[in-house]
Amino acid sequence: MAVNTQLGAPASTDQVQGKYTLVRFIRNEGSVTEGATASTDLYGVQEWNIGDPDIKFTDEVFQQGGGDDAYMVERGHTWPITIDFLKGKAWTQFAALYGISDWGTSGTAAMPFVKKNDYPSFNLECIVRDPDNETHRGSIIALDVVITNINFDHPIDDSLFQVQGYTRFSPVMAPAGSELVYDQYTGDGSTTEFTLSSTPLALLTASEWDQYFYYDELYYVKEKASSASTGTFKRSGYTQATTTLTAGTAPASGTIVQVPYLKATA
Amino acid sequence: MIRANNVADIKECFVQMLDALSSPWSDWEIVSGWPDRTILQAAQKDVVYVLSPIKSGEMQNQGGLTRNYWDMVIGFWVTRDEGGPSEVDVFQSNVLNLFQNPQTVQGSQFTVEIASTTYTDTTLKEQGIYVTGISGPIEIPTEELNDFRIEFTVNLTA
Repeated sequence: MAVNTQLGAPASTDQVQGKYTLVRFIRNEGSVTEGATASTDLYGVQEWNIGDPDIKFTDEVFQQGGGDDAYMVERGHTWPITIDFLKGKAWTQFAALYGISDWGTSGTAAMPFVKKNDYPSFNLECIVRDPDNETHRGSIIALDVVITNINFDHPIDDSLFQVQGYTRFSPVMAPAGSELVYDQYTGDGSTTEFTLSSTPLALLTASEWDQYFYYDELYYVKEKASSASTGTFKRSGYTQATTTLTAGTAPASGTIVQVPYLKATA
Repeated sequence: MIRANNVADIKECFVQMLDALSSPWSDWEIVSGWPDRTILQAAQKDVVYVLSPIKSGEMQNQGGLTRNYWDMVIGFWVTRDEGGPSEVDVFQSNVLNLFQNPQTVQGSQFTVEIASTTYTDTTLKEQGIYVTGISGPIEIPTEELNDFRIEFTVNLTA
């Protein structure tokens, strides 16, 4: 390009608006179903945000004789996430996000504002579309979102209800024509081969992204023992080829295997 | 594909899109531009008119050309004998139902001739036109007591 190059005008679809975004979620570590867990649309969303990450450890590393040359080390990211709802939708949508299936009918009749554990509750998928409300422009995916708090503000006019949370798993941008799949399996102590519900899309090959636990073409493989409260990332022990996920050692009976990945939209 | 900043092309796409719709739109005569007395008297149906879009804003990338936001008036003119206020109400609800449903308004097929090229079964989306909002209606005074006229403003990018 020359210094006097004049670019063309932006396309009408270059400016995307939140009102054309479909927000949906998949609960994790909820009720166990074999194979794919379906996404649930969220209603009443007015705004959602992924904020600047909080970084637990940041340091500049020098060495003697290296002068001022240094490299930056950052570890322990958490990304704050907020979702604002129309207040009238809060009760049903919060219950869905929390995984309270009997909300308002029996069982759970109180939903605390604060969630005292640190367990991931859901995976958020924000599908950004053109102004035709149909053509997929791309998605933002936040996996393993931990709910921390509900924020209540009730002015005399229109008002919103806010879910606050965070994720330690780096949010990702997914390309047009892709969507999130969340497969779960339950180990029986002998099965080592699990069939994925769809063919995963290749994610990243660059090694510097390994810290985000990409596992072949999967975002991650996690095992949650029947006695555990939350799953743990697997760094080895599994192989994945197209729709076959093979465990080197059969997951124990009752262990849940969680496998999120991207598939091509139909 | 419409030509850049060509208000006639934009207007013609909307005229043809509305004209291709089924009832009740097919019960109305879609007119391009201001319907003067001759057109109103000659019309066999109530008149829906589409005025030329007016630039309302712009977006631009640094070092690049400008794409415009437009406001475009779509009006309805009816006499009491042809339905009067009740037909105005029908028009209002159909305008809102159409323009506030993005998948419908962007996906409605029509045939249009742009710069001597005929586009068959095209859509606003294929022509690079996107409706982003609608406001109104406002009631427009008329000289005839038994005439009723309202106008919506459609917001779009093209």
